[in-house]
Amino acid sequence: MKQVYFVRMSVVLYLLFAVALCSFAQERPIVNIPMELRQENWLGRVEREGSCVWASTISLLHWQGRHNTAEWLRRTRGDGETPLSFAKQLDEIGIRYAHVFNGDVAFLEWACRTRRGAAVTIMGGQHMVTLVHLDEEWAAILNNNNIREFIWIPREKFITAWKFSLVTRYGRYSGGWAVTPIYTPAAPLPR
Amino acid sequence: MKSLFARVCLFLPLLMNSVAYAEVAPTEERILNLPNDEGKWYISVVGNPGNATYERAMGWFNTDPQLKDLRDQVRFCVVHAGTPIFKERYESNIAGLPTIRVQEADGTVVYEVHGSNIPETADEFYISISEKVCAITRPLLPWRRKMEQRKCPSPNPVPPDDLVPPLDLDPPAQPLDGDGPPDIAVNPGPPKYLLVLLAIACVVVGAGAGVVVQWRKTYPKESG
Repeated sequence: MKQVYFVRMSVVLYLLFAVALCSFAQERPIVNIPMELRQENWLGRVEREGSCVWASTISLLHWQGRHNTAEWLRRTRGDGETPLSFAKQLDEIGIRYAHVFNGDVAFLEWACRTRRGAAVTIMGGQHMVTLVHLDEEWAAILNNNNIREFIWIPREKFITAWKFSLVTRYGRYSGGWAVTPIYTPAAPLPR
Repeated sequence: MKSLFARVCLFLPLLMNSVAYAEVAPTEERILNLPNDEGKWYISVVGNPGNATYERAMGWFNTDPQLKDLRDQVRFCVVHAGTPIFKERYESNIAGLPTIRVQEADGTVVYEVHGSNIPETADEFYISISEKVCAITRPLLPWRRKMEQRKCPSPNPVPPDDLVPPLDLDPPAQPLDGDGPPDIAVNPGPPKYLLVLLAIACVVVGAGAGVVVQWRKTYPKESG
């Protein structure tokens, strides 16, 4: 009888501990974009290319409360972009942003620390996705070709892939490209 | 002549290569000084546009100088009921609409008020927020906080004016300077003359009690 009582008490204490731990844990991923606001990739109207750069950026704009700008971009832009062509268009539109294309990991850390996230190149520069989490062990990305789930990758593996993901037209790696709008991210979940 | 032509042919690919490389490596890699604002607090105003209480509260944040200043010091999130952000991040954890919630950077709720509990005036609202916020962020007295502000100018750069998007669809972007909790004025509390009167009363009562005690010691009552 005493044993049963002891087991029951242990289970209750364990559950209480688990609940307490959950309430103090940080939200994962940090940039937890709601499903309806995740932008799927689409074919551009002019070149018939994938629009992964725009899709990644639009998801981030939604997360940062710029819904109208995001929807406007979805209607008016598309096709593939290079760092310079993309920056030029963001400048013309007047979107506040920051970017690097030298593989500076500090930029990614800053983007996730400030809960903004970043659009990052992968697959040797052929594709761009949204970085939604980066901590000491793990990175998480939202792939605009499959927006249903976040993909978790060991940090070092992701950073290596990112750094080798911007190829010049002469086949030289130039470091990872990352870009993010700078507005107000959604508030964290209450604690 | 042939030699010159050969040299030109030799250097032409190198020249083209450097030009092409320059295309992806301009001189300025970061066009903004990245704001280190991860410590900023959050204020969420959640509600239905058109609701009188919601509109009144939003109006305060746009017109009342104190609340406007507060809004610019935090990450200010306007959330409309029924939107995806509302459904996933607010619907399950608010008690009613409209809701105004102040959170620390890690999500800890400092102040929350909803529906008919929202104060009637901007002043009452500001005081009710300041009481909660100052309970956490008042390690320094107001006069000292201001003195330190004078001694330590903010190192953060002021963003250029041309960063405001031309698209008038979304609300204007918030300023990027500053970090940490908002610098909110302390609730004024009771009037100062009451404190002076209380101090005088304490001195008088204390002195009177001392005299009485000493009197009894000096002239003890004779028993019998």
